[in-house]
Amino acid sequence: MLYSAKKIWIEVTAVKNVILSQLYGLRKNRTVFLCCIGAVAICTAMLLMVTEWTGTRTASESVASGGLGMMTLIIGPLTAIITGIICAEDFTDKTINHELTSGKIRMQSFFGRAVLAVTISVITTLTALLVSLFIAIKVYGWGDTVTLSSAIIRIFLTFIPFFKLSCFGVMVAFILKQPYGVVLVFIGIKMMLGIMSMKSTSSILMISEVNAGKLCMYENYITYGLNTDARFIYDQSCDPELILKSAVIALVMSAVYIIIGYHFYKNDDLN
Amino acid sequence: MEYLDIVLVMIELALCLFLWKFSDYCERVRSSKWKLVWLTPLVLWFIISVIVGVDKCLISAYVGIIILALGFFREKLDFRRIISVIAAVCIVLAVPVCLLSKAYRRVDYTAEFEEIFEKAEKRYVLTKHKNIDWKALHDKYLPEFRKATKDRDEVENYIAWGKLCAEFRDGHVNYISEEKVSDEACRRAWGNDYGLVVMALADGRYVALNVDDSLKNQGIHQLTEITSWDGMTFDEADSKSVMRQMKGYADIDNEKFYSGLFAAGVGGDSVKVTFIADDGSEKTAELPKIGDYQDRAEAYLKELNQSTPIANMTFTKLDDETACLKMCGMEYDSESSSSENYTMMKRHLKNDLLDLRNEGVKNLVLDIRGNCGGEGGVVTTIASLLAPEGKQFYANNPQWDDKNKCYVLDEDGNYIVDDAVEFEGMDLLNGGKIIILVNSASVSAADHLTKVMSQFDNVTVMGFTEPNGSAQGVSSINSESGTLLLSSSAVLDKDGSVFIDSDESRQSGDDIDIRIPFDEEAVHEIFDEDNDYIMDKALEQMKDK
Repeated sequence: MLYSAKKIWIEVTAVKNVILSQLYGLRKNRTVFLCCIGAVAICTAMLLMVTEWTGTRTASESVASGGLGMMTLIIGPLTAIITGIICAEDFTDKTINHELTSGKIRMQSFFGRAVLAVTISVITTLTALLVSLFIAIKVYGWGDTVTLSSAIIRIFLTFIPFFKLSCFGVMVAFILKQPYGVVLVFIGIKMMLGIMSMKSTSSILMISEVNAGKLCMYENYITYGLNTDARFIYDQSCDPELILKSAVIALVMSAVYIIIGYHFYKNDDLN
Repeated sequence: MEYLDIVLVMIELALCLFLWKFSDYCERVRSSKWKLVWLTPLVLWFIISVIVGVDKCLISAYVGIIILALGFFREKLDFRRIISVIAAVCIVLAVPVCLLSKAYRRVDYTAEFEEIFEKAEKRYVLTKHKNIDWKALHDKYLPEFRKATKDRDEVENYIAWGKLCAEFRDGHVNYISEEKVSDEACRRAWGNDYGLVVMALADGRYVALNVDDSLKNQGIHQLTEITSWDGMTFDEADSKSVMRQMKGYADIDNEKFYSGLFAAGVGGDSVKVTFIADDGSEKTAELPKIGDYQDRAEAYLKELNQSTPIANMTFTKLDDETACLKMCGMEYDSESSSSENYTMMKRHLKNDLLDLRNEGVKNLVLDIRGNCGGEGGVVTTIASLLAPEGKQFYANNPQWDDKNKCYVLDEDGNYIVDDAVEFEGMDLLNGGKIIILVNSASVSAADHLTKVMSQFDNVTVMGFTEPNGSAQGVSSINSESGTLLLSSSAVLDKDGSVFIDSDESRQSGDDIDIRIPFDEEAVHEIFDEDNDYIMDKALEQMKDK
């Protein structure tokens, strides 16, 4: 028992070392840094554009009328670039080959990269959504269409689908071993989804970006008067059943992605 | 089975066979990349599941696909061959399960009903006015939705919604679904065709109309008086008609007008019909079912409710002094609809009207028969061109509580008037006579126009029936199987009462001035001579006045 615990601790330490070395490498990697900044900039621009296009007057009105959902739809490819670079760039310059010959076992090098890629892409996504929200509040003021806490809760709930999306990115990165191949796969899937009609709830839960959009969507209806603007009435609460289903599906699918990615990498001839 | 499920099963079986063969090749030509091929079944499953969703009846197929994917993890030839066979068996097993199980791809109509019903209760603005007992309605219709779920019958679900909506007696409460579902529901609900339509004439007699040639041998022809239907009075037979149960006439007078129409579809393989023969004696004939009543009834209604055959929002001259403006919907063009700016529309209609006036036209018929409603802005624009000069009243908006996101109510639970909507009259007809032609399908904004215009002395509203009598603002609640439309925005009259919509008494607030009797002369003119009888009556009225 004590021996197993010690063995696990050694593995964790080794994984931690890979993470630290990756972090050191990332400090000098401009692409990931630009992606993080780009994610914030694109999300902010998107929220501001939605506010202007829809003629809404406050940030809360913009968020409630679909601004958050729009942001989640465009942030997916950035997640792909981040996971692609962190997991697959070392294949292109053969760093990973040197790492393995220097005594690291494959499990350590896989999970060291996977944990870091998932963490950074999820944190970037949430940060981009939160920062753009606060910039919109600064520009337009919050308003009273929906509460700020409900918007923040919804942003944090997008953690669930974006975690799944990052795990998918990790799997694709370790199979393709090409950072930009991951982006191409994401774009291909996005184009394919564009021509598909998704009717059932299970379809919505399976596609991360659509799932994130659904979690950010406020149930609403309108009332109006003669010669007056429409009044949107939003439901602040988020359907607990949707959250639970999203979480369960995300956990299962993420596990499948990681297991497939690791198993492929474990026996890969690295050519 | 759904065709995509069949595609899934077929391709997955083909993959089983392919992978069984391919495992041998992988054994000979080794590469770590080959094992990716064993993920193909998973990818295909994922794609098809995204399109049609997953279903519990296909579980054995899903298990088979997962078993097949195990070939990715274990690269032994024997293992891969065994799992190919096991997977194929599991996938094939799903076919009889899907074909035999009633649960296959079953939509939970009961859950949809519960979800929509709960939202509708919160949003509907005429609950107090119409004294709607939501709990009683819920308890009454829940078994019908449960049955539709059990029978996996989307048409039954549509019919249950239709019947539930009719209980509101509000033309704005409707359930819409895919066209094929609503068509099939209407076919079922109209019932059987026994070769005739029956309707009550103004003198109370029920007569045969649109009669099939095969009935002439039995002595039944156009206008033969029918005294009973399969041993029932027409009121009794009407109440048994599913289509009648799905029609929620807001105004009881409109319901009475169509009395007998629905009864003529009620019955089994044959019905016993008692009628007054040409010699004055009472006879009984057994009429066999000859098809679906829907075609006959709808063809009859189309002829009965005809309107001027010209395009929407266009004028036509009826005689030297009278023109007609046809409005089949209260919409002008997409630009004015999206911008809610009706300046261009007003200019066009004003110019057309002034041209007609220069040609000697003094009077106008507004034909809004069958007008399905539209935008309040169109109502104001039309009314402002024709109304007497000066400020004219349209309706009142109720007070809205922006903080609590609801209407402000007084102690008795009634709406409180906020601001009046008015418009400036231009009187382009110089006080000329205006006749508005309506029928029970003139609804929503058409109801508004009728109500607004009928306050002026030079306006007469005519028709067989009153307009629909439904005038509140509409919103929708969506579900996977359909959409419920309902009144969710209140509009108030001058005195603060609900605008137009009927209460429990089922008398709506926009009446007609001249109710044209549906008599033998009307039947002859419409169905034998193919004339627009209502329009002819309007022109007669124009000359009389």
